[in-house]
Amino acid sequence: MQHGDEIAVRATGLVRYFDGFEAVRSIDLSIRRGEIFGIVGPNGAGKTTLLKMIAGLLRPSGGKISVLGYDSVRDTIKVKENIGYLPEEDSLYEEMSIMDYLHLFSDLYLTKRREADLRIAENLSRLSIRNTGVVGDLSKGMKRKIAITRSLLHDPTVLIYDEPTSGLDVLSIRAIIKHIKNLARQGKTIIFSAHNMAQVENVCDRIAILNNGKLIALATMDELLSKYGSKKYLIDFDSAENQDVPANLHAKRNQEGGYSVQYENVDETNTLLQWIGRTGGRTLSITTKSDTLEDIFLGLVDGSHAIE
Amino acid sequence: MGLMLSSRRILHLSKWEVLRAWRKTSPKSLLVGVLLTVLIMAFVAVTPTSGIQVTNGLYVVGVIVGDYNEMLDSETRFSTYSFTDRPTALAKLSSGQLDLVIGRGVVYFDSKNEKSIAATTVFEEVWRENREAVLRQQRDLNPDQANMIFPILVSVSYSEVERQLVAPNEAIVIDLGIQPVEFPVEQPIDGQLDPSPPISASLIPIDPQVGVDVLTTPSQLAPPLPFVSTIVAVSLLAPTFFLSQMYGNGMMSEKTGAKGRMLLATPLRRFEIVAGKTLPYLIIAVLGTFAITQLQSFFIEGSSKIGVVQGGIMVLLLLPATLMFFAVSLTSVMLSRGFKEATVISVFLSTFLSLYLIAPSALPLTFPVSLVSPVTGLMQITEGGVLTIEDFLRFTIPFSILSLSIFAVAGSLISEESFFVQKRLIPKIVDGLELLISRESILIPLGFASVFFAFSVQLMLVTLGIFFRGLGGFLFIILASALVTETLKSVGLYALVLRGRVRRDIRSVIKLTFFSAGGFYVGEKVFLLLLAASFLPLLSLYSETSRIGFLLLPFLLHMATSGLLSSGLIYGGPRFYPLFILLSSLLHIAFVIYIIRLMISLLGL
Repeated sequence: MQHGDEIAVRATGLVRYFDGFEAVRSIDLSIRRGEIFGIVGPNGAGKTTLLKMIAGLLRPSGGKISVLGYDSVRDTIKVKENIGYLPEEDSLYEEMSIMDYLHLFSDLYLTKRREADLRIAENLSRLSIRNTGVVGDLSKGMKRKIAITRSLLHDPTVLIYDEPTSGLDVLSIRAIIKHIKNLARQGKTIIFSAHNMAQVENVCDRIAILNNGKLIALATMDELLSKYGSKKYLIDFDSAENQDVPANLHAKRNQEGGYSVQYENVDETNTLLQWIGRTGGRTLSITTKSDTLEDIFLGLVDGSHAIE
Repeated sequence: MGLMLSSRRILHLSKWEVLRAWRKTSPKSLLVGVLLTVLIMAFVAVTPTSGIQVTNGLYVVGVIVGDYNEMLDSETRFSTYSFTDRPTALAKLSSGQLDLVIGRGVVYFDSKNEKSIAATTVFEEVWRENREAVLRQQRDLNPDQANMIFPILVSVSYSEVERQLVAPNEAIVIDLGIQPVEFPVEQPIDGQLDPSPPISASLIPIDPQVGVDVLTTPSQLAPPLPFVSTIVAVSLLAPTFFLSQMYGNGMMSEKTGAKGRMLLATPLRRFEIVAGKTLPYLIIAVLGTFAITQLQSFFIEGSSKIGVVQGGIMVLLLLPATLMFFAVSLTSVMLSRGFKEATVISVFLSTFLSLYLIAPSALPLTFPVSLVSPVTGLMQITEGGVLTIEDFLRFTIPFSILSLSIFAVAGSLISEESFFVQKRLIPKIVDGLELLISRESILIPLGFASVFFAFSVQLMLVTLGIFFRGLGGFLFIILASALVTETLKSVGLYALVLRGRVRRDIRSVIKLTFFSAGGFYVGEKVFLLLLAASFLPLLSLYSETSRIGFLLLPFLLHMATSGLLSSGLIYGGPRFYPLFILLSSLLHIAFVIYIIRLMISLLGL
């Protein structure tokens, strides 16, 4: 890392055009060293374009981006030396054996053969892959694991994973997520995009939400919840005999003959509970439900949450 | 250090490219490929000596006098026999055992026999060619002007000679009407045929060593036309034809399914990727070419002296052409969306390139048009000529720079922006140029390199101009040439303006004008020096005229046309590019016409 900076990736005023179409619009963000940084957004939001610019694959149309202090345009080679990139789709050399394929890339990174072999053995073992056979004969999950192994051959500091678990079965997803968490524990900075919100919510330290090329939110999950999320209180109760529930409490009859109501405000909940106690009713259950990243994401994307 | 790392990456990529190609090839395909290659090599190696021979010995010709043996030997369709007496020969003609009988200045044929008539037509053709060949051997009146770029066309016309019909129903005699210097005329005979002895008693093969199976080649024509050399050149290019296609397929497989994206994600630079992917095929092509030079030395008569050094020189001479085929393959991949499209584009471009290489080089070496092709140098060697270092550099440097420039432009498209994206041709080229032009000053080397494109295209235009005679041809050449020059000079400028990387002010206009015009001007002058050896008469004229501003005038022209284009593009926008290309081309043409008039007046013509 250069200049003793704790920031692994810094983007300022990042813009990218494709034939006049603005795919990424003036994005500013900093990704700290050693964090797992999630990027979510609907299709066409600019996630892949942003990741490719960080990886030095695409040149920004405007603004600046640096990785470990290296400018992505001026020092592209240095940037690439320090990045392990996993594209959205695996396009591997199908005719090659697994070992040849991995050796090819370790050679291109000029990694010593002994070091490369150690890393290959370690990663293949963690991801439960046998190193025999031809790449073309592997399942989709196995190919993804091979691609992940390839991204780690040169021991990069920053890992850029574009939808690493897309289209995989539960077991493969679990193995890959576990591997990513393990890599983060080793001090690697991991930037990954995903459509699966639960995954991002569970794995990432901070989350960026992109829509139409704009960064509309960037925070930890807790910060997102406190800023955009809400808690819901579901209350089931019985009223005292011959006691009607006042209309301002918004309770409705349920199938069991009692009442149900949902509040987003703790004060309203307290008011109801006080009324039940006062009138001799009975509280059957109180359930609280917090917003998920998906709720927040949908709220931000469809505009129901005000973006701060 | 950087160079070493670069070399290591290139070598690693090359090594793995060979292994990948090897693993992708099934044993069956490999066997078919090897057999096909051996067959083609055997064919091209043997053809120069024996020909295809389907028409060999088609016509049986009796010769009464021995004056024309050499001429008749040169035509494989004739199988010739000597006769000691005319009546015997004519009897054989009458009985159909001979198709033609040749005496001193006369030819006998059977007017009722179609084969005999056809044999007469062939004889007339051969005689005419022989006659022209003899004329061509005459020395020029002014040998100092042999290399001047202005060819003089000499037309030879033939008067129809009336056929004198003698002895109807029997043999017919033609008086060829030839002057006695080379072909003494004999009076027609009366056509009376004596009873003929058995044919076996009087047929004497002219060359008893080879007999009817006499082997003759087009090269034995006098003077030799470069048929053998052409076949040698084609056969030497055979490995390049195949390997450039294989190389194209290899690059295409990186493009399909975006497999090459992972190469782009590694620290390899674009040129390292291109070099690493190209080198294995290029090395095999070069080794294959060298192997054929050595193989052919066993087959081609008179070329047994093709040793290792000479073979190496031939390979080096062909290297720019080999590079060009590979550059064409790479360009085809860059411009196409799939394997099929790449094959169509590649075959089209390779056919054009083959024509470009072979056709001009087959011209006699008096035409500087033949300089367009490095194959000319190869012809010079195989025809027994001497190739000086100057010749070698002249044949190889321009074409090498041209090939490497095409590689650079096509290679610049190996990027995330262009390699995997389906785009139309012009935006794709602009993408490549935009990536090449990291700074505005790069317009200088770009202008420099474009001179070599312009030169090659212009020489081809001159070649084409031979078919468009008169004022139309002249106008075609200068208009097309001006359009090509102005487009090449300004294409980098266009890319910058199109991508909005130029500020709209007078300072930008001046700067970009100077960069593009300056680069082109310097390239033009360097190029002139490279060609100095073959243009000495022109160069002396050039140095004479430079005193009166010939050095300054082209610079002013380039500044004027570039200024027009850059101001038009910067203030008018990219959509006015075709209009300003046309305007600058017209300005260019006006300059050319002015220079021509000036030169005519200086030369006092």
